[in-house]
Amino acid sequence: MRMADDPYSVAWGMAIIVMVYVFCHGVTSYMVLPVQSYFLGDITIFASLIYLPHGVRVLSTWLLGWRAVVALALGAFASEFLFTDADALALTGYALWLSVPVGALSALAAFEILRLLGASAYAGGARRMNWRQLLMVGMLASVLNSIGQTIVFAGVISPGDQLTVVVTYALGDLIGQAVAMLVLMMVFRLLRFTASRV
Amino acid sequence: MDRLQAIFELRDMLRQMERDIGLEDLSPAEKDVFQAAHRLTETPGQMVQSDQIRRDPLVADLAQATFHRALRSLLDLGFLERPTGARAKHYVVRQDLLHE
Repeated sequence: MRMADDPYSVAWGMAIIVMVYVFCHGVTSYMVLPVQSYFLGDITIFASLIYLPHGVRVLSTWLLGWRAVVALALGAFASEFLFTDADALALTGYALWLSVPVGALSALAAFEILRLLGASAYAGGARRMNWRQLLMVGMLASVLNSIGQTIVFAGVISPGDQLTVVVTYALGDLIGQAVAMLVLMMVFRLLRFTASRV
Repeated sequence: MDRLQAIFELRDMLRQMERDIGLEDLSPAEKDVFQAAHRLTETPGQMVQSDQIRRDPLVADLAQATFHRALRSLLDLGFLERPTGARAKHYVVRQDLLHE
C-alpha cells in the first residue's frame, strides 16, 4: 500500500513529526538559546544559531511532501505555546503566529521550486538524494524562511537589526539541520548496534 | 511512497553520511567478507557457508585468522546472523541489508 493512500500511515507520520518538532524546539529553547545568549549576548530573541526544527522541516517534507506542512505548522504552534515566554509573545503579537506557516512552508517551497525546475528532490523519486544535496535543499529553504520571517517581523524588528536577524535565521536553520541529521545518524547507528547485540 | 522505502532511503542516506564523515564500521577485511557473503546470497534468508565465502576470490588471499576474525566481527556487528537452529558455519546476510 502506498503511504499517500493509507490514512493511518499519514496520521501516524504526522503525529511523529509534531512530537519530534516540539522536542527539537524544546531542546533549542532550553539548551541552545541559553548557551547562545551566554556567549553572544541577546543578538535577537527571534532566532537561534542552531535551530534544530529546520532539520525536521526538511526531512519530513522530503519524505511526506505537502502532507508534512500541516504537521509542521501544528508542531510549531504547539512549540510557541509551550516554549515562548509571555513577554516575547506580547512583543511580537500576531507576527509570531504569522511566522509559523512561513516556517512550515519554507521546505515545501524549496522542494517545489526544484520540482518546477525539473530537479525534483522528494524521497522515492528518480533522483537518489545524498545528505549533501539534502543540506543544499535545506539551505534554499532556510533562505526562503529567513526572507519570509524578515517580512513577517518587519514591524517588530528595528531596521538596524534586520540583517542580523536574517543572517541568524539562515545560519541557524542550516546549522540546525546539519546537527539534527547528525543526531539522527547517531540514533540509527545506535539502533543498528543495539539490534546486532540482541 | 511505501513506508519501508522511505525508511530505507533515509537510512541509506544517513549510512552514506556516516561513511563520508569517517565513521566507517568495517575494516577492509570485514568489508570483503561481507561483500562475498552478500554476493553469494541469491534470495533473502538464504544460508551461506563459511567455506563458500572463503573460496570467493575477494577473500581468498586473507589469512585464515583474519578471515575468522572478520566473520566473528560481522556477526557481532549484526551484518551476518546465525539463524536459530542452523548448523555451525552457516550464516545469513541480515535481510534488511539486502534490498539494494
